[in-house]
Amino acid sequence: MATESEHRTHLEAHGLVIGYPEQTICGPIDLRIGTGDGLGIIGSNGSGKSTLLATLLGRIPAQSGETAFRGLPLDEDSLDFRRTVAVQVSDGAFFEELSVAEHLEMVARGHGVPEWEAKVESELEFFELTAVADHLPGELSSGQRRKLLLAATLIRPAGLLIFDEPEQRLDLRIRQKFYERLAGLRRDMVSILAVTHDPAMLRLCLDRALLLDGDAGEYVESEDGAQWLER
Amino acid sequence: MSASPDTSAASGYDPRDILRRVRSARSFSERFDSFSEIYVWVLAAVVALAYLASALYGAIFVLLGEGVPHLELASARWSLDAVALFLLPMLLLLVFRLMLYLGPNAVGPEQADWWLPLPVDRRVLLRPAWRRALGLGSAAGVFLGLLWALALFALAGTWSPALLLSVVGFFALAGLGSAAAAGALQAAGRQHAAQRFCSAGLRVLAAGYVLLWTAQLVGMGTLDARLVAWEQALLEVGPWMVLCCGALAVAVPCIVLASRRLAGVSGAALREGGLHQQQLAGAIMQADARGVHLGAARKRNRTGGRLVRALPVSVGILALRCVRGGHWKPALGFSAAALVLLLSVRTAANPLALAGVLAILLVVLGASLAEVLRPAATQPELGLMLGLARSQRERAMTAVAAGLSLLVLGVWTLGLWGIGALAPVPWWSWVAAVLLAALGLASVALAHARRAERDWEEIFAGASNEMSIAAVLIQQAWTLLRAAASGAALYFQVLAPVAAVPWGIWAVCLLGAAPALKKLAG
Repeated sequence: MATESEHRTHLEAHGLVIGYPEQTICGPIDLRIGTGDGLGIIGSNGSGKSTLLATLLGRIPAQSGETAFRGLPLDEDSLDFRRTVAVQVSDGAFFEELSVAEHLEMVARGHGVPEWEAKVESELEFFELTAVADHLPGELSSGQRRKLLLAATLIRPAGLLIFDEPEQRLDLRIRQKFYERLAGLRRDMVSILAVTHDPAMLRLCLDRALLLDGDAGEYVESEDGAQWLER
Repeated sequence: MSASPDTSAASGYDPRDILRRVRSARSFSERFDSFSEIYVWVLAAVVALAYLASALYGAIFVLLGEGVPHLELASARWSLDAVALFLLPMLLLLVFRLMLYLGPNAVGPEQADWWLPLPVDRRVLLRPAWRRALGLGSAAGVFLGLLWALALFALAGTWSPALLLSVVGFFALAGLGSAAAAGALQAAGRQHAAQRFCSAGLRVLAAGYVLLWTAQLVGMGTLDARLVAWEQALLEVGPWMVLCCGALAVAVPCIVLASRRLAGVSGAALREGGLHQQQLAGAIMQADARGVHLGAARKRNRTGGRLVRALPVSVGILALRCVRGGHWKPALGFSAAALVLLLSVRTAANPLALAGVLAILLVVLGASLAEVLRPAATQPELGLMLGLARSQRERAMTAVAAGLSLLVLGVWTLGLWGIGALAPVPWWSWVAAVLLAALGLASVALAHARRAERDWEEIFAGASNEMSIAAVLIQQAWTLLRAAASGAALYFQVLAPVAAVPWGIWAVCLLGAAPALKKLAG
């Protein structure tokens, strides 16, 4: 997607063994996401997809191996990381008193988005949340909450987007729109790392997939990954 | 709802037989266990009574301000006995409210799916819970009755066995009636309405207190004599016997009504009752009073949305949480109650009571501020979503907590100066004490917020021994103690207005404030 000179490594891991104190889930895994790359993480339930994502983000310590962000040890608090990486947060992470529109407003303002009012309007429209813009998160359906989280991830500028099963609870039409948008972002050199169970996401907006079906995982082309998901 | 005899005979399946077998299968050791549980509960009630009685005596001692100079306020027209007149119906409302949560017509959501489809008479299912609820209601009544008798003894200095019996008897009957009425309301699915009634009742009582006090202030002299007569009635057996008869007259029809409704209680009402009980248990286990309001629909509140746009994002979110989440209410409610008490009760405006009020205010404020900070402190991903580093989030949280504490303590200090309860010299010493208290409170609130997600049920269930539970409780108590200790310099100046605050006390305050100062400095 990018020429060699433009290509820059965002996130990489070497010999990463993931798991919990008394249980190794998988590894060693080598992984690299550069500018404009699109990598999916696929596998059966319990194969360690979300654990790998959490380990890559430094939220769970790795049993062994190293992770780095732009060549330096990963630090979620570093300014570069916060500016570059947008992570779709977990389902329960909301401020109970803030409305849907105010959540988007705060994220946009927090990241210094110019003309954030228009951007909020456009995200509400894209995710079909305009009718519930003044609702509190507690009043939303689970699908609407998922849309709000995705909108909050996309409203801010980012070089690397990280999703954990973004397709969950979205209807097919919104999924399609969302994937097309991600494909457009990739053309603008935005990288994507996503855990997914949806073959359409692999086909439409990702290049390769890391299939976690054994200890070290296996890299496959997106079409092969999609077929594995459909089997 | 009773099992169809035809179906049972044809299939050989009798759900009543299952219940009989479940009950008869209880071994001797299980029966002994349940006896032990009752024993432990009684023992816990006796210990709680001892501690609460000590606290009550302490509060009465402080409000009477024995041996310390009082401030003679023109507005202070009431005695503590007169305040007790209002506390009596408040206590009864609180017992009723508790029984609305603990009433018999409740089946937990997990159990409901198993039990409710069974084709058995619901009376069979609910009878043990019904007996337990009546027992619990009367036990809660006896507990409060004993506390009340102890308070009367502290105030009047005299009592008789007949007075004690009639007071305890009244409260026991009131508790029994409350349990029965709550059961009947649960069966009718009217818990929410009854809870609203309780809240309105408490507000009416508070408004009645202020109205009567105001009427006295504007010169309705006849009220004074009437209040004195009512106060005296509290120490006589006759009025209590009348109250006992009244409570009995209410309790009996309530019990009859509730037991009649037992058979016809709907599954929806049982599920709702179960949900209420779970919320109460969750609130107790998580030490978070908001748990009991979880079922209530949260109102959309757009207050302050535009105003906070001038503030940094993190500060704006915390300000909105404070305003819209109602986290200012506990501190304001306590401040209002304490102020009315200080202004209206003759002996209350004394240095001991003022120091006590400030100490409780700091604890209440610390807990409320921790609630404001909780999501930002416990969910770092929210901060990341906003593009904030941990140090930025912590600085914002500390600044908001310290700012709000400063505001509340500043208003209190100025107010107490205003009514002449404090000497405003030396001013720098007061300013320093308020600043250090606000910073200390911010440190405590941040530390407490980080532990606010604690699941007490998990801790108790997972604790390998009493020591690990004790360690958690000590940590919790330490937080509250730190909140109260933040105001050490304030208390000293209230209690000894002419003496200079010793360096040791400044050092304690500074130690408390140090974590907040460190966070603010980045």
